[in-house]
Amino acid sequence: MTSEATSIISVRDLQSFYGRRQVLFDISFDVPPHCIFVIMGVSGSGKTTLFRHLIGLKPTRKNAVFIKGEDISEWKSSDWQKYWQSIGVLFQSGALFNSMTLKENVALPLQVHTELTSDIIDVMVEMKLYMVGLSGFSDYMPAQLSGGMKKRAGLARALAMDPELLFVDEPSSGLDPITAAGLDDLLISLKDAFGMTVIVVTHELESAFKIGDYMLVMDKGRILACGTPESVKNSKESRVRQFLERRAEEAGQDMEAYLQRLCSVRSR
Amino acid sequence: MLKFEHDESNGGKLTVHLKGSLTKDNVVSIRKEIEKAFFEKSPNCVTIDLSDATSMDTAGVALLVILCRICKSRDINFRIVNPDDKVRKVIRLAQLEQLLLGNGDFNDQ
Amino acid sequence: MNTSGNFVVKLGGWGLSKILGLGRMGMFLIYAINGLWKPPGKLISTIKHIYFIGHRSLFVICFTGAFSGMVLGLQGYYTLSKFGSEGLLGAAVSLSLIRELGPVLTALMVTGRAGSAICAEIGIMRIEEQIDALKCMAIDPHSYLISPRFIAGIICFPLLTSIFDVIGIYGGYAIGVLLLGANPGAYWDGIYKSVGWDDVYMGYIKALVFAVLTIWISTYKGFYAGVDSGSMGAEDVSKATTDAVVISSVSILVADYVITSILL
Ligand SMILES: Nc1ncnc2c1ncn2[C@@H]1O[C@H](COP(=O)(O)OP(=O)(O)OP(=O)(O)O)[C@@H](O)[C@H]1O
Ligand SMILES: [Mg+2]
Repeated sequence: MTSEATSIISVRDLQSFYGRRQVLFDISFDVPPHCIFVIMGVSGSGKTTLFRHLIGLKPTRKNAVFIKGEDISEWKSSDWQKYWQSIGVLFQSGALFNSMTLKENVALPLQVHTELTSDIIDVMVEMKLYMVGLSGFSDYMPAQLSGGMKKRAGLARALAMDPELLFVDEPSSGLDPITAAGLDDLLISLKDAFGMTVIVVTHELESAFKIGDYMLVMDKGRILACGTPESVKNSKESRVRQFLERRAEEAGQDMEAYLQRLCSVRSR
Repeated sequence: MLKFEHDESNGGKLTVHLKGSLTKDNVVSIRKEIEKAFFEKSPNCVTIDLSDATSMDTAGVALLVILCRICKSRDINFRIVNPDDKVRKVIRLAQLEQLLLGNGDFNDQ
Repeated sequence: MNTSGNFVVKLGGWGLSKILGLGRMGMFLIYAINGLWKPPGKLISTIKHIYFIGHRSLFVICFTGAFSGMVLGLQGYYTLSKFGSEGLLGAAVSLSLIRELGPVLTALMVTGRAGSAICAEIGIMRIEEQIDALKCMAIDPHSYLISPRFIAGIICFPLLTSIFDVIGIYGGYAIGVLLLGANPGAYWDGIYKSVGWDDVYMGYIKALVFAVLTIWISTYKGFYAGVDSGSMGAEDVSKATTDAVVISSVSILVADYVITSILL
């Protein structure tokens, strides 16, 4: 793939820990600009953790993550402020501010970071909500929305500032196929119209191959496959094939350990 | 960057040439200038020429929407002409082609 | 050997984590003060919090103020009448209210009512990733969430304390003078003669210190709810809320003693 210099994000041998437990092992990949980069993987394989490193919510060691060629572990808080103003993030949980209406949620970054007048902000918010299919809900509180609607509202908020780098964690979980397809189209047109770089975690194989310019398949904190959709599709790796062909776990999880745990339950 | 062209003969025809980028950093000042021109010239036909607009974000689209709204409320004829491909994509993203670009006849001036 | 070694290790770890916690708490206050000058504008959110901390506490404050004053009037009258000095009732009631009871009880009531709510609200924002979301929008969570609450607290506490004092003095009047028959002229005259600027000053210093303590502890506990345990669950918020109320109340009483001993 592309080298460090031309890629917008490069990750080199990233390790990640929760306490003593390691959840990411030697992750390395590059994200070229103006593309949709899809991250796929089994539940619990560390996709959200990888995200948290890329958006600066989890501290990263030296020489592990480079954004536009700069090592993020050396960034000062002003660099972070600049970076955060240029990205949009959709969290897996949506993370809407539940004491504000949808409109206020989406308008917040615009009110804080721009000098725009309130009528322009209103129009922009209405446009963003329409893009994700939520126009007419602008005065709802987050608690009054369904799960999939919260996700889309979170996406609208991530888009508020027209970021150049968009991170979306499972936009289509909890959505019906029609709405999900709408979101796929939206991501593609965002890339086309603004030249946005979109990094998206998804479990939907079909949508991943439809929108993805590059793909990364993860399993248990390691990279299984990385590259263009074709190269991933033709991968010989058995776990990748299993993932792509939607076969359930055959040997099950660690059977032996499971049995051992059952047997070691002390009877009273 | 703005350039105004005012043609008094046809009962006040105002053409606004937008140059360069139209983004959230400069829409407020651009809006002020355009509104000032509206007041001074009180035209009955406004044309926004986007042939030299290089880039636009949703704040730019919002500005166009607001100008359109102002003109409608004052019964002024409002048109947007010559959007380039990139700009048109942004307008299409917001699904505002109908409102802003009319139906098809956006290239004649 | 092994178990005692373990114990020492655990003790050391516990001590270290407490010291680190204190350091983090100090930094938290510095960030919050620093956040006062950062965008976004704080006017509207400060007014909202003044409404919440101040206006919504008004009823409780009036109620407790009235009853504290009444009980002071009652106790004071009976005690003083033993020495035949009912004339001092006004001084006794007003001094104890202005110097001690007003600021302390106000702070305790507001801690129970608003401190717990502030802590729970911020704690929920933490466990629902809303604080992370703020950060990723380049909005400083300290400046956005904490600083306006500090301003609101610093404005509200002295005001609520004043209201408490005034209502308490009238409460004492109602019981001591109207019910038990002390001399009304002597009551007001006692207040007029005995309460000096020193006493009022002490009361306000206390109110301000309690405001900072209450808001600091409540917001801090909420802000770091579940961060150390890593579990980010509902019980982290409930634990943080309990902690916030208990620690705030204790530190209010301790600070009360310290301030009194310094200013006397
Ligand atoms: N706060 C945390 N503390 C400890 N371990 C965690 C924490 N968050 C995640 N983990 C662990 O890290 C591993 C990766 O989790 P992560 O959330 O990144 O998975 P994921 O790929 O996003 O899964 P999903 O597709 O279900 O969202 C999991 O094994 C999980 O147990
Ligand atoms: Mg996840």
